[in-house]
Order: sequence, then structure tokens, then C-alpha cells
Amino acid sequence: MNEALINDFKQLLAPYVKEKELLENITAETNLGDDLHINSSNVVDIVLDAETKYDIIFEDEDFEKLHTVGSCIAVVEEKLAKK
Amino acid sequence: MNRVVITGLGVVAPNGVGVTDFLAALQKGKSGISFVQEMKDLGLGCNVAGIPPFDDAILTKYLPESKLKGLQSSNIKYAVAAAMEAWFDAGLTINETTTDYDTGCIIGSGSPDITTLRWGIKLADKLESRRLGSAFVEQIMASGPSAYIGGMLGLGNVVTANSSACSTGTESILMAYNKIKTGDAVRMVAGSCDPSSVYTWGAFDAIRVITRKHNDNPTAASRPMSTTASGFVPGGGAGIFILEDYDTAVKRGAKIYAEILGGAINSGGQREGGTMTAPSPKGVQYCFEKAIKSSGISTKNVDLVCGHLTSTYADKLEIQNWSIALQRSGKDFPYVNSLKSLIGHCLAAVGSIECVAAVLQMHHNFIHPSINCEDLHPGIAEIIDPVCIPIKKIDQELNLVMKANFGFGDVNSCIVFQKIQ
Repeated sequence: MNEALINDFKQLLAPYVKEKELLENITAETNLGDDLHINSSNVVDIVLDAETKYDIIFEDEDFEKLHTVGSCIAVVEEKLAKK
Repeated sequence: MNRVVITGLGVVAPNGVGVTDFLAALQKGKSGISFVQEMKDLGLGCNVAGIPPFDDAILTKYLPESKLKGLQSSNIKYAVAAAMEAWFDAGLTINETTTDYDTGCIIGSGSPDITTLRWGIKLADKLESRRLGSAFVEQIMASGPSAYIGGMLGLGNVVTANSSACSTGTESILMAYNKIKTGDAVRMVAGSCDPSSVYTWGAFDAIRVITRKHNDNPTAASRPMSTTASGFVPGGGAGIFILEDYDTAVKRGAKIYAEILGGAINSGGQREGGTMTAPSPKGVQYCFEKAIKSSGISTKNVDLVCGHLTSTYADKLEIQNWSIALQRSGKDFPYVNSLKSLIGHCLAAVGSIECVAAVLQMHHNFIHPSINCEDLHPGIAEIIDPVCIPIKKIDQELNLVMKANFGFGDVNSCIVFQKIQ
């Protein structure tokens, strides 16, 4: 997994994580809801932030994949590869 | 029936944010009206308003970063700050894990923040509604303020919003009062808020009910009861009460500001002189009389009337209605003042801000100056003696205060506060 993207995501997720210490050791397997306690309604905000940062667009079907840090990064990598 | 008392106050007003600053402003007769460049830029006739000197930084104490990020609406910001101030003022704490089913909240507003709505509509018109984010819906809900506050405090009784234009604030407090009186709730967070949105104010400018004559002298613009009153001055803000069942408040040793003895909410039905924008005199008098009856007071004991008194031609009519309902006139009329002389007309927020002012005056035994009515309207001087209207602050023992508000739709509310006996 791309370390730089993990670090990017740490920053992208930070505003939505109340307990900041949970961000310290995130890995590809870290679950947004179960591990970071991110409110599911905030996923749309994280998507908007990621779209702005990488200049990409998430499609409807991409939303279904956004469960872990790794699955989010996979979507971003796929979009970046197509650019 | 339970007795209902006020144990906490919170306020965001154009002349003071927080009870300490607001109280000092009341005592000094400090105006919160200023020139607003944005109103001039929009070509409005009125370029003055009462905008609270609100610093968003205060919200970082109460809301997590994820909530702050998308929050734009000033009415919700004001309501959150005022509600949290009131909650802590009442000596209460927040339980982060369990729900309090005995406590509810009723927070009204006139509309969502139209400036926020405009932001969303502009995105939608650019075919970018998918970029509205998670926080837009909750900000355009009429129940947005109560939904924020209910969640922050973990409230499990009724969590809702009322809306009755400029009567909203006093109405919300009376609705909450009834919940406790009947035993349906033990404690209520009650009050109202309205945004500082030039787009709302523009609508009032269009119907020429806000003043166009004082753009060069903002603090003189709001002139309730004056001969030269030429329309109200718009504003935004929030006022919040913590109401509690008397026995519960005493048991936990809470500070008690005042008791709500009773009140009334009604409508003139837009008949018999009432219209969408003007109150029916009969409806107003009926509201006052019902409030007096429900409180069981003798009108001769009323020390102060905190009027609606907006700085329009209707001020004289209001004084007449009070005089008829109280059966008092001339020098025998109680003291009467208008907070709108200092803060303008904060629309749906004004009733609750004025209720906070009414309670603070009684608690601290003073009457705030009602400024800009040195040229008292002769029609008012025919009904009551000018000595009843304090142009300067008066130190005065107060035990019984009546407060009323009226709103578009010919709706009225009147509440009676008494110092705790």
C-alpha cells in the first residue's frame, strides 16, 4: 500500500475523527466506522475532500467500497491511474 | 400542576454575546445597531442592522471539528452558543453516554439561514448538488437548531421547533412551560434564534417595513414609541432559557432567576382589523387578558411591561392595547420599555432575547433605558405619562414583569414572570 496515500488519508480523515489518537497507527485494514468511529454521514464529506485533493470524481458504485482506509485508497489509486 | 422556574440563561444579542456582556449593555443602554455594507451593496433602502459580535471560536468549546467544518448557518451557531451557555449557567453537566428522557427542547426560528440556503441553491443550479456535503440538510431543516442542541445535550423528551414569525421566542418558552407544568417534562431548553442574513432582511426591505431614514446614524435608527419612528431595524441572534420544575430545581440547589406564572398564545385570526402583517387589537387584548387570568395576578401589581414595540406606527396601538388590558393609564401605567431600541428587531429571535432581558432586569432590579424616544409619540403621551418610559436606566425593585410579542400571521404571545417568592 502506498505510504504517501496513507499519510494523505490520515489528514483527510482527521476532521471526522474525534479521538485523534486513533489516527496514529492506521493501516490499510483500519475500518472507518468500527475503528475510527467516523459517522457514516461524514463519508460523503470525506469523498468531497478527496475529490478536491486529487481532482477526481467518485461514481455511485465507488461509495459502496468505502469501508477501510485501504479500500478508499484503492478507489483513489484506480482513478489516478485513469487520469 | 407543577410550578415552573427559570434556572439558566443564554443569549447572543446584537449588543452583547453572553449574559455578562448583554447585562452590561442593558445597564448602559448600549446600542447594537450598525451600518452594514452588504445591505448597501445589495441596493437595499435600509443599510443598518443588529448583528451580534459573534466569534465562531466560541463554538470550538462545544462542537467537534467534523460538525464545525460544514456549519455555516448563523441561526444554528447562535442557538448552540446560547443553549450551551444556559445549560452550564443552570449548573448542569453533559452525559456523553446516556439519554435524559426527562429533558426536552423547543427552539424556534423564522426560517433557516437564507444565506446558507442560497449557497446550496447556487451549487444545485450549477448541477453540483452532490457537493452539498453532509451538513446541508440539517441546516435547512426548520428543526436544525433543536436537532443540534438535542444531540449535544443528549435530550430524550420532545426535541422540536416552533415557528410563529416574531412571536416565536415567547411562544417557545410558553410551550416549554406547559410541558413542565403538566408533568410531561421535568426540564426544558427553550427559546429561539434567527440568522443574520441580508437576504431575509431584503425581503422586509421590499415591503418597506424597515427604516430607510437612518443609514447615516445607525444607533438612532430603532426608535420605538418615537414620533419619528419610521420602521424597524432588522437583526439576528438567539435567546435560550433553561426551564425546570420548581421542586427539582430546589432539590438540586439550582439558582432560580424567576418563576413563570403563566401566559397565553393566540391569534387574531386576520379578522377584525388583523391582517397578515398587522395584529387585530381585539386578538392582542384577548391574549393579554388570558395571560393575566392564567397567572392569577392583579394587574395593579405589574411593575414593568417589556413591550414588543418595534419602532413603527403600531407602537401606539400596542400601548393602547396594554392600557386596556391592564386597565391602567397615565401615571398609573407600569414602567414600559423596548429592547428593540437597543438591538433592533431580531425577528424570530427577538422574543426570547427580550425574555432574557426581562428576567435579567427583574433579577438585578433595574429597568434598561428605552433609547431614541425623546420625541415621544403624542398618541402614546395621551395614553400614558412619559415618566413611565425610562430614557435612562432606573434602579427599581421589580417583582412582576409582563412581556409580549406579536408576529406576521396575526399571532400573539404574552408571558408573566415573577420574582421567586
